Amino acid sequence: MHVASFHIQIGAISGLDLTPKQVCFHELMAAKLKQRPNSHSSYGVPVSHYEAVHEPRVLPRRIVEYLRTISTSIPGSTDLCLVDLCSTPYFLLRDPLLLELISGIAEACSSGLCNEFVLLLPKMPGSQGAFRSKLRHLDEITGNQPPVVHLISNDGSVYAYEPGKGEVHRNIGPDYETLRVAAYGDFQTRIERKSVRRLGHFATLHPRSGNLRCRHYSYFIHDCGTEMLQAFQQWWDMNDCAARAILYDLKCNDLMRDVVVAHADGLDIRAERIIDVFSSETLAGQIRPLGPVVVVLDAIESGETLRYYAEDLHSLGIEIADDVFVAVSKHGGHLPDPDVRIGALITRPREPGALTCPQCSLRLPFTGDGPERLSRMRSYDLHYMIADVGWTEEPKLEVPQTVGRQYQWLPNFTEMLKRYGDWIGYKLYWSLVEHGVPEAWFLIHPAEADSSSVCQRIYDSAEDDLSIVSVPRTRIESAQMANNSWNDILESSAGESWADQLRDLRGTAGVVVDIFNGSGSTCKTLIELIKQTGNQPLAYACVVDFNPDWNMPAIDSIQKLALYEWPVPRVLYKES
Amino acid sequence: MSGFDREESKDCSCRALVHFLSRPGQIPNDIVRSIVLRDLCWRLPHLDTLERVLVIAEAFPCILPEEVKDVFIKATANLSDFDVLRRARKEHKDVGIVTVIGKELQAVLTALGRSLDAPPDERSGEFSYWIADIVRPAGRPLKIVVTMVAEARNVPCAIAVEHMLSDYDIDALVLVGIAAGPSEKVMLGDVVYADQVYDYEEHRLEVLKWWGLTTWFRRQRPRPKYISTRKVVKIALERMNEPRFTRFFDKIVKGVAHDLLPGSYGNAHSPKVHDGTIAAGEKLIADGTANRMRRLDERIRAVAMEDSGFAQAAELAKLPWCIFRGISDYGDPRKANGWQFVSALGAACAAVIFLSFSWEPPKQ
Repeated sequence: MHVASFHIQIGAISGLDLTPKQVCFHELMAAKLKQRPNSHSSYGVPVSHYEAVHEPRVLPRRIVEYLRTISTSIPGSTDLCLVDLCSTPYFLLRDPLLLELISGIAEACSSGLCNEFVLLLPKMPGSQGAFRSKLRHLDEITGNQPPVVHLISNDGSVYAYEPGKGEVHRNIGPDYETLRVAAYGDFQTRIERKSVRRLGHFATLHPRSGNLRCRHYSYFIHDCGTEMLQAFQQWWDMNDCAARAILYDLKCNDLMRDVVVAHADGLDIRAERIIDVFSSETLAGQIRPLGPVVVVLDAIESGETLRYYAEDLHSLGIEIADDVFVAVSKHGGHLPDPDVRIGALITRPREPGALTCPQCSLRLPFTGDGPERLSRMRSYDLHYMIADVGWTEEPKLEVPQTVGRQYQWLPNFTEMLKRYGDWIGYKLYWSLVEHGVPEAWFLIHPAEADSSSVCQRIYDSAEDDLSIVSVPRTRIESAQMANNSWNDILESSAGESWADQLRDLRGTAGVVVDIFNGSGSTCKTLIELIKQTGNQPLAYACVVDFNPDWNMPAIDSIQKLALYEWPVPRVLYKES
Repeated sequence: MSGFDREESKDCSCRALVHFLSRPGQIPNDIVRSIVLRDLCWRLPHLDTLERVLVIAEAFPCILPEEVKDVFIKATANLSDFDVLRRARKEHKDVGIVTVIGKELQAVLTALGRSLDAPPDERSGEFSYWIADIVRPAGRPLKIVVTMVAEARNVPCAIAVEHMLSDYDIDALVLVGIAAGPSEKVMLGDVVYADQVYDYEEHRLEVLKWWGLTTWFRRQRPRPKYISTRKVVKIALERMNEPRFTRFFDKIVKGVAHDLLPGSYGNAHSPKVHDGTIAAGEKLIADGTANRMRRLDERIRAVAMEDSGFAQAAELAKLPWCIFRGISDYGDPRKANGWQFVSALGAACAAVIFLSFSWEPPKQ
């Protein structure tokens, strides 16, 4: 018996391999519905946002093509075809896409490629909707031998459509959710992905003395309010919290504040800022009879702030519960009160504090704990990172050989991206958003380790999945030798993933991404590629622009968005 | 009403670059040094002359050979002198706002669109400063610096103004706070804006004479002092638009935690703005004198404790000034609980509306 599973990757990188956990999840699903298969093939099927919305036929056509390819290598038909859409946002699964999927199933069935299908969906479509109505009448479409179709939604409910039996409701069991989360990650994974350790000059007030304490870093969690609410609710339930009030100090984390207030609203309990309780006897009087309160803080490191709050609240007759929740935990197991149990969205290692703040000595202003205020990087931060990662020469393979000479000394960007990539990606993403990006857009970059890493970091910061097109350096050089003409190269590259992706993306806005700009030659060539494949160049984003121009911050009239400008242009062959 | 910059100021950038250039072990060789120096030189043209000279002087030792550098730093230059020069140059702000107590500061920060418990942006000695912008429909945004005296009475307020003026180059000063008001003329929460301060504190102590003979009886003869602001402020205050203030106040107060509002505060509360004189002395009035003060000057609409010191310090610096006071009590034994924040917020909103729409900063 052979099973083929297709994980639909909307907006994802072309041909991305499935992880072993995902393959295992598909095999287990197949085993639940059939006996354990003899052979199993798993594929990641790329579908761009544009296709998902505007060209719904692309998805079933690709699945049928894959099934045909399988039938040429494995004799006989595929016994079970599993189409995995469980990690696709439900709003992208509109009726036209789902209806086209039925047409694909009908085509595969009538061609004898497969007769049994499983669709894993994020949510069960409505019973009166066009999709399920059409499934109930599959025999009218497929004729004599209608296929068997199983719909499984993320909550574990199953609807089976079998010939002669109509729609049958089943339950796949409680472990489905566990298996799915194990394969695709849970809210915790997303929170980790959306947490950023950023550099800056951050100040906090000592709760007692009012003195300022400086930090060079701050943790920031963005765009995952739902997941944060899930994490907080799970912590609340796991600790059997029975508190009737939450007191919070979340100056640095507006999103967490909304989560606490939403959670309290749901349970019909009080949620108040600690500072308001201290400043209002009326409020303190209202909180006092409610019993021990749960305290929620931005972060915990030495536990000093928590101790002060506990003492000050105690003096008002308010006791705090042993369970405390923080957005970021950095205490490393060293808390003054061993009875306190800390729950956290993210846990990070404790970082040594400095006795004196060099940024204060330099009179650098504070950067603030809220959302990013500066769209560019500060000199202090970039050179601090360079001091941390050191200098190195430009990798020979990444030098545009036809254009200019290799940089002998460059900041070690590879290491910089490893240590600070989350913040760099977040800053680039937000400078792009600030510049203005349409609903569907993609990233394009030379296929090199550092620029791939930057794209991946932007991808992590983005709210939705983004397509990333990775163009080999050899192809870029060929185009540069042909005076940036891509026609012949595109013809000879048919079948290569980058060329196929660009063809599929036709009509979409593209952002050229690179780790740095030395002469603008790579950027110009990729802008031409975007234009010549029927897409629109939107912007050029890089970490450092070594070839800045005060008067014209653009390349070929495309806006340059660099986190830092530093005039050390590449020595060009023409000049030398 | 606050705006954000896209990138840090060039002088901060240059100071950071000099810091890294001079750090031992930071620069591995001369090529890297020249690369970092390029970064510095790229930013230098955008500094003002003094800052540029200072940065060049500070960066000079970084380009010297090691053996010369040692001699240079030890014998020739005391680099800390440069910082003294730098500190002598003050950052320009359009308006300095002075508050006295915490609730007034919170109200001003709220009206400026900042979190009411935001930590200070800058510190100088005992004083903290909060920085914000006020966007204006006509003209560039105003750069604002806010401070808190943290102590009532005229002298501490005058000291705070002096301190602020020693830290910043300021074009105008505004005092925002709460005050007692005569119940016959104002309501709780109303706002009084003043172009004149009546300092009732100064008295001459005299011995009474009878037919040229000195008696044992003594009397106090009041010698009140009026301090008036400049005509340009008076004209701008004339342009205060009450409906615009009311709309702005209603919008801001909706976002305030209910607990900060007084128990008797209702949605229908609509503060009025009054122009008038503010009586200032050293006494906290709580015996009903506020109403009697109007016998001294019919225009008195508020009684407070810092305005004379504030106005005198501003006059001494030849700066235009004005005062916005929210009425939080009637200065009588009846205590009006909880009106401090909302009254201060009214005054802060009025100040923001005045600066946004009526005030014209001097042309630079």
